[in-house]
Amino acid sequence: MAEDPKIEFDHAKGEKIPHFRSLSGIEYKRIYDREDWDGELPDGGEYPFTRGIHEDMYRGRLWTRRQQSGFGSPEESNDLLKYLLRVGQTGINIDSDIAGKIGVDPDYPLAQADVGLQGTSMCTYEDMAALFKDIPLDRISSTLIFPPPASVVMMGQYMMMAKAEGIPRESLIGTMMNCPFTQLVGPTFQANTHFFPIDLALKIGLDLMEYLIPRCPKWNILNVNSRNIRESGVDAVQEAAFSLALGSDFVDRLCKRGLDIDRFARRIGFFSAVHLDIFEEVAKFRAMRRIWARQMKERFGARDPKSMWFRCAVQTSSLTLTAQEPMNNIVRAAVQTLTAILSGVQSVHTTSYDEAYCLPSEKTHKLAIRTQQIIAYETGATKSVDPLGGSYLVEKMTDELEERIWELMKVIDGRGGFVECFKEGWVEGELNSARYKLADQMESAELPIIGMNLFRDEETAPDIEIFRQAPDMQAKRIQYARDYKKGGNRESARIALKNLYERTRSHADEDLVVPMLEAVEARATLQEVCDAMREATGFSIPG
Amino acid sequence: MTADLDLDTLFESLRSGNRRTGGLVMSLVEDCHPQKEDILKRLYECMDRAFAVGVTGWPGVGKSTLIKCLAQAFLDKGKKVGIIAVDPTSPFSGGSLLGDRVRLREIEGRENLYIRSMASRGHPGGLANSARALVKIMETMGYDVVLMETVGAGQDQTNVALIVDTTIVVVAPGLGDRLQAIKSGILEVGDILVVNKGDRLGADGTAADLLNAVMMGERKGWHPPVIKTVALESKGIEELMAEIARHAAHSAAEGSAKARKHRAAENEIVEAIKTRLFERFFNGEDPIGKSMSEYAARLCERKSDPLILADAILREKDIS
Amino acid sequence: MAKMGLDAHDNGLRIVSKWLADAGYEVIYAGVYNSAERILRMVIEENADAVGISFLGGEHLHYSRKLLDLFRENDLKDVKLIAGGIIPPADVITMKDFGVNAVFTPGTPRGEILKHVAACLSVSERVPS
Repeated sequence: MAEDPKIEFDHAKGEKIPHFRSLSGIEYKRIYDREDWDGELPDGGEYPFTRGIHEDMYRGRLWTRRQQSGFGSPEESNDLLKYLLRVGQTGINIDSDIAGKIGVDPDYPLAQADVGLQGTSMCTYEDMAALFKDIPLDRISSTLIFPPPASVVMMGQYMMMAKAEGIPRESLIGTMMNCPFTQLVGPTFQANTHFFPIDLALKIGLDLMEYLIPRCPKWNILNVNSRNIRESGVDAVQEAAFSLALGSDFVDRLCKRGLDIDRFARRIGFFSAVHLDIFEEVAKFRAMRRIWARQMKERFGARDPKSMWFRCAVQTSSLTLTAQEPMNNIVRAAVQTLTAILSGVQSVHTTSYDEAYCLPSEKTHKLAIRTQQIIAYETGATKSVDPLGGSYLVEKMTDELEERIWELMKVIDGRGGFVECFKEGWVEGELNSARYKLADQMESAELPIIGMNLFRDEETAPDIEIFRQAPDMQAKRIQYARDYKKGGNRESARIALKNLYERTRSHADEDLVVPMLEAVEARATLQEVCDAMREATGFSIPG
Repeated sequence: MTADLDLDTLFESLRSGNRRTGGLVMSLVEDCHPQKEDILKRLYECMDRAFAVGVTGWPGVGKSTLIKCLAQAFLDKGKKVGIIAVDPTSPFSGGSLLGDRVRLREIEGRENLYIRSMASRGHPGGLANSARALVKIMETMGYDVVLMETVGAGQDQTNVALIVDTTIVVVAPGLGDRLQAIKSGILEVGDILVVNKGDRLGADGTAADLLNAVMMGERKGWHPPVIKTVALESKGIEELMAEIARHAAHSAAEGSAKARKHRAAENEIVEAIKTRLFERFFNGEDPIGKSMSEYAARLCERKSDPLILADAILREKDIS
Repeated sequence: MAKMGLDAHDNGLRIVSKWLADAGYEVIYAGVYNSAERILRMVIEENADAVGISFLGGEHLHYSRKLLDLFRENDLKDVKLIAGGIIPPADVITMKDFGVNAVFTPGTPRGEILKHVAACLSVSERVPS
């Protein structure tokens, strides 16, 4: 018996989308025209950089294709790195597992089941060297995702490795994320305060920045992670305001240490999310460029235009990807990548379509890289600077977002700055309201998500290859860490750690980076270095 | 639970400090287990032995951190400590999200510590009633000190204040006008006033403000001290412990503890009568049922008033 | 409601906790960084009927097995275990086989979660407000 065909939208009725609001609630007008915007724009590379931080943008140099990668052992991650470079990655982005970020070794009890799952398991100098084996550090830049104090240990290991290869510190190119507030997803208060005293972490991060500025002039000392904030459900305005406020807070603290802004501001960057509302996102980035430029110039007195650049790396949103019909995510990621390019960002990680299932496999990584290459070479998006500039809609939205972002930044400033707001729990409160609101919107389909709350097909389990790791990987890493620490000839490490302990106990207000690096050079492990400081401050970590 | 519990075995297990039994019995008295009365009778047979401290205040002032410090201090003195963390129940859903344990995480897992979460509603006989029962259970299990954390400043908190030996009210600087609004409530129940986050701007001002109010108020015998703490750094805790001890000694000497317990007892009897009346007349059923939305609508449109509606409902149920 | 091990992606945990509280349950929110032993202690002290755990990084089989073993060893067989998060379809089956009562993957509607939780706990569903 033939089934009646389903006609969801009668021709007479027609099909319409449920509403015309952007993700942050801005109402899209029916049509935009000169009444909405009739202004002037600066040139590309001209203050306040609305159209981009460079005069020629992608015509002069394409963005970096910088996929975050890493899993299991350093050796396996090294293989993946080489594969990614072979298929067209142009920048390295090292993501360690959680243990690495919070400063514990694989044999830490609470870490044992998480070792190597969300990133590379790494804790020793030898791990770093294995991870980067055969990689020419002076020909390709590396981003290392670590908050302080782990950032200091990893930077130390990286510098040791460069030295062993004869690469001078002045030639080191890359970024250490180095932000204590936003690396650990959320940033829920618990995640950021449970493994190290937050004030000391912040201070160590600043110490590292101060250490690197004169010694590694090409190295980026900080990436403010606005993506993690955004992925908890806040909107574009909140994402921008929180991250710009946090960035300003860091700049303020560095200035208060007596540093000259024109020596360090250009070494600070941002890491943002890109979501699916194309025009709002483009407007967001343009607004952020303007606001940051103004902050640097007017509030902090920067004179060099490079100090005013809002340099931004992005990763396309994971929050918007679905477990249902995962292939749809390819489309989403492609649109988001295009949006990033239209926004003028400096590097991109395109999220893989299996995000809701597992870590990316080589296959899905490759597709992500191809996505970026297709946009770069096959579309016209890279042939002219700020192609959407001058669009009545985009300019109006840029103005509107800029206004809202400033307002929120004033609120944060009035409360004592982002760091204060974070410590008070205010940021957490905002994030919580946002996540519940977003969950409601996803439930009710007010935020339409095809395949999940709209046009949902109750299909059988998706045909998707789940990336699985070697079954003995964790056991091996745990044993490695144990053996390393029990090994012979650790006297110099013990001495250096004791020194670090003493310094932290009695001179924590002075530089701690140098004693930390000494311990790293003496082959202390990540946890050993961090524990010395934990013990010195009487800080205990969850068992 | 259908089988009758052997109360002798149950209480023997409780007295040995068995956590599992403790958790179970606490649930039995919170819900309406058929043997609840017998259990309560046995519990109240023993004289009050544990020292109960209530800690109350608005959300965000740092109560949990403060309780953590106090618990640590008592544990370090070798005491067995119980914590009852009360979180508000949603008036709409009847459900509750109890998140205090997360804030007590640093001390969780210690041997002589028991942490129990409690919702503020859904207790026949009132919150204070159930809380008292929980304190008694902890006492029977051998706990010397029970710290009870409640939120806000309302009737519930006033009732809880009556069942503990010492009530600490915690504020934080920056409350502004809210402080004015809740001052009378604070002074009514607070035996010790704490200004937490004492290293922040405005802390001294807030402390001075409270001190002033204490001076001007009438409180026979005991003048609530105002203490500044920075719970996150465990500052001010020694002073607070000393004041708690001082208050305990004072109440014992003066007999105000007795008067308070008397008032609490009167309260409990009234609440119990209310519970019984409700049970007897409505047999445990929802007294209003389907007509509720109609009545509520009438009330919303101001076409009637609650007492008139109550009379109508009672008439319908043949109660006059 | 708890997360185990080091992963701190607690979005799902927070949202489902709130949904459950809104549906009338008494939810004890244990946050992140919990070990199996800590959860065991909470279950005992709070006399919990069920535990909800959320995973992201691939550690779900290890931890759910560990928890179920602990429940069995401590005579808590009746406590229900409900899991959620990024769990591949094949693992959902494995988990149910060794005793997890329900598994919810991303995108499961609120109504479905509440329905299944109510069924697990043999309670009648209250109409969410």
